[in-house]
Amino acid sequence: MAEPESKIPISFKLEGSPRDQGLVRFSDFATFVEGTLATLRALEREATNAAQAQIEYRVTQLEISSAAFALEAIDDPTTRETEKIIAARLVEGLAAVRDGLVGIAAFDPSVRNGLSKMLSPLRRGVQSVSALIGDTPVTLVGRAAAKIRLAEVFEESAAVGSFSGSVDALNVHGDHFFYLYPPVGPTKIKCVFSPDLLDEVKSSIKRYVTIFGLIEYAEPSAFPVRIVVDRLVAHPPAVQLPSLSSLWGISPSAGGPDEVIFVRHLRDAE
Amino acid sequence: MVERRQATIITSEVVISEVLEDAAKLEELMKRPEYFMVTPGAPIQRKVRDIRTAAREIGRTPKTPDATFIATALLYKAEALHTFDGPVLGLSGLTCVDGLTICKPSGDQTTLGF
Repeated sequence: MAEPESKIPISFKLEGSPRDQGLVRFSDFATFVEGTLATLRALEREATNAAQAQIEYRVTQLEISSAAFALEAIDDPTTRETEKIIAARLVEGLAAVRDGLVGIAAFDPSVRNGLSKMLSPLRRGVQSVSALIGDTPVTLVGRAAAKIRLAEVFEESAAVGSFSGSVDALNVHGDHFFYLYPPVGPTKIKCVFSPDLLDEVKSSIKRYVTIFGLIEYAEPSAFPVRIVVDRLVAHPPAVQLPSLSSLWGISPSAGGPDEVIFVRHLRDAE
Repeated sequence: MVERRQATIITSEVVISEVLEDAAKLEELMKRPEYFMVTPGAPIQRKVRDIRTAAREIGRTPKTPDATFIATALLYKAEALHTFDGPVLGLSGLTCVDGLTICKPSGDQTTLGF
């Protein structure tokens, strides 16, 4: 009989401020626990695109005289893959708050709200939050608080445009979407598309493409958080494309004494 | 460095309207993964406004296309903005461009593949 797959343990330890002798106020602890559950459920909805979260968690460890606890999902073979995605995204979310706004913007608003609530005690009496998700540690200290506050005031805007990257992680359960992995900027962007584009999307998996559509932003980040795909164009292999050196000197107007004048003329910016 | 995949060139889609000669070849070049064109959406346009406002306060008047390239470089965290344009080069390191390094492109000496 096969061994059951090991669960992904998720543990947290909160440290209070020196004025509380390092102890954590109960209201802060309660907010953190509620925020943690809200974040886990939002991440599950993000992963499955389901209206409601299904996974139940149980406490596996609760320390005495310390604001530390561990939890794990109740064993269910049908949700194991989702649990892995949730764990990975939780690491990404905590690291995004720690590192700045660029990453935070890539999460659904419900996840941002969950993370914001979960980590809001850092603005008050909690000095640090240490998380261990699987074997990945993430520690946030008080100075992350300003970023959490900024994460709450995103404004959304949208523009018709294009964005390039590699297509991966196709989902056709519920809403149709895939993730675009651009070479610069955000790690990945959720791209939703109508079912009539499914064949085109399938043929673009693992290929470098340009997506055309409605690009949504959660400001102040300049990076898209979501693209509503209108069409996508797969790029030819690199060997079929010109290189920078192959364009050297091709302009019939080039070759004058002053590159500044040439470029100014070319850009028509005068 | 770009052709050795050691760097990525980021530019704004503004370049499409600015370059009149060999435009098709430029767009083909931009399809390579080591080149990246950015749509100048609202977050970039707001940064453009901030740059132009800050520059005016010190008597500089970068043109909107130039400020768009600067904003794109800043928001996409480019190490430097490359240009041959004198007035734009004059903004290098200033507070109004958040200290962005603006310089002429230069190539590294490489070894021949004998």
